This record gives sequence, C-alpha cells and structure tokens, in this order.
Amino acid sequence: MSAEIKGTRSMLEKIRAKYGETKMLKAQDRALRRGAQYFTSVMKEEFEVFRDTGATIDEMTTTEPYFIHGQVRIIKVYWSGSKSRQSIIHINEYGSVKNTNPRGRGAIARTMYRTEEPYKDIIRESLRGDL
Amino acid sequence: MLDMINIIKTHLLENEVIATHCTGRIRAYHYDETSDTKGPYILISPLMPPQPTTYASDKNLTTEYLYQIDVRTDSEKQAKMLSEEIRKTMFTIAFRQQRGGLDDYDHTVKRYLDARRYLGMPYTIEGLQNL
Repeated sequence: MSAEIKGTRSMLEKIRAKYGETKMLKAQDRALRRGAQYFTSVMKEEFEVFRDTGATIDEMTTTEPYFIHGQVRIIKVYWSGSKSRQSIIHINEYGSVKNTNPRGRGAIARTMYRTEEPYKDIIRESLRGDL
Repeated sequence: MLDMINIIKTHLLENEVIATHCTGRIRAYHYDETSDTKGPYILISPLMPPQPTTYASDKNLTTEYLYQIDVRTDSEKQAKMLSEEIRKTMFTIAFRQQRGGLDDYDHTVKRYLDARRYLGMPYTIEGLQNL
C-alpha cells in the first residue's frame, strides 16, 4: 500500500508567510537545543556506568545549530578538550584489534536507541509550544 | 524464549565459507586473550538486552536485538570475505546491518578487524516464529 502526499510545499510556504522566517528559525533552534540537551544528558548517564576520570563525560560538547545542504538544521554532538577523547572514543564504542571488550562498548548505540522516541516527542512539543 | 546467540551461531555455521574458516572459532560475549590468534575469529557481542517491541492484544509479538559482530583475521581479504558472508547470512534471518562500524589494522600484532552492527526484530511469539 502506498500514499501520495501533495501540497506540503505550499503548506510550508503558508506557515512561513504566517510566522516569518526568523521566528521559524528561532523555534527550530530552541527545539533542537532542547533535544540535544536531553540526548547528552542520557549519554552522560550511559557513560557514568564505566567512568574513570570522567574526562569523556566532561569533554562531550554540542555545536550551535547550523544548516547542512542549505535546508536541514542540525546540532552535532562531539568530543573536544585538553584530554583529546575525540581520538579514542571510537575504540570505546567498537573495541579495537587488541582490546576486544572495552567497558561500555556500544554506549552511543544504546543512547541512540533509548532516545529515539523521546527525542521526537521533545522536538514536536517544543515546536508546538512555539508556533 | 529464544536463545538468539545460539540461533545466530547455527545459521552462521550453515554458510559454507564461514564453516570452512571458522568452525569452532565463533565466540559470544568473551574472547580469551590466551586463545589461538593465528586464524580468523568471529566474536558476537550483544549491545543491549532484547527489547520487546510489537504488541497485539497484550501479547508481545516481536523482540528487537542489537548485535555487534567482529571478524579478526590475519588477511584483509579474508576479513572482508567473512564479513560479507556474515552480512548475507544475517539478512536471511531478518537482521539488517546498521550504519557505522570499524575497519581497522594493528601493525604490532598484524591483524585486521572488521566490526559491524546488526539490528533485527524477529517474531518471538510461538506460532509466528520464523527462525
């Protein structure tokens, strides 16, 4: 079974005309920030289980909202700091040739799975409140 | 209840290529540091506990599983060949490869690693089981 959806473009045009470009962008950014904050809080909780010095948790940072492909607004979560966890985070996530079972393997995957539905709800509710 | 790891093991060994290279060399959860590191090794690690998903009339129909399957070998060609065969076999039992993974070489021990992740949602209710 398939369905064809028509008129999304004109609907978006109407929304734009009603609320204005800047207000839409502001609402999007607020929703994204809320979502990202929720995501990192869950991720920190997930990393807390196997923490040692806590550097991996501290160095977790989020970017400001930005456009990709000119249309899509995103926030990126990444690692940055003096202890350079960005260079070893993949070993923690997947293991390596020598280290087969790092503690906390798959922590990011688990976070993604856990936050999928709540994240969508947060975005939806935030947009609904703002527009 | 299904013993999913055992099911995966049996299905993998039914594949001729995997059976010739890896009979008795498929491990789950744990990979001994002292074990023979000459030939190819397959390691299956669950990343999260099975998650009950679809429901009908208060009955749980499906369960979602997320596994990481590592192949460690001495030759790059063999690693890719085995990983491809694993991917095909997993596809037949309704597991799909996920984005991400690791393709790595360690020059100190001269071994390759191909790590992939599979998400599957098979029927686990009696009468509908398809595995």
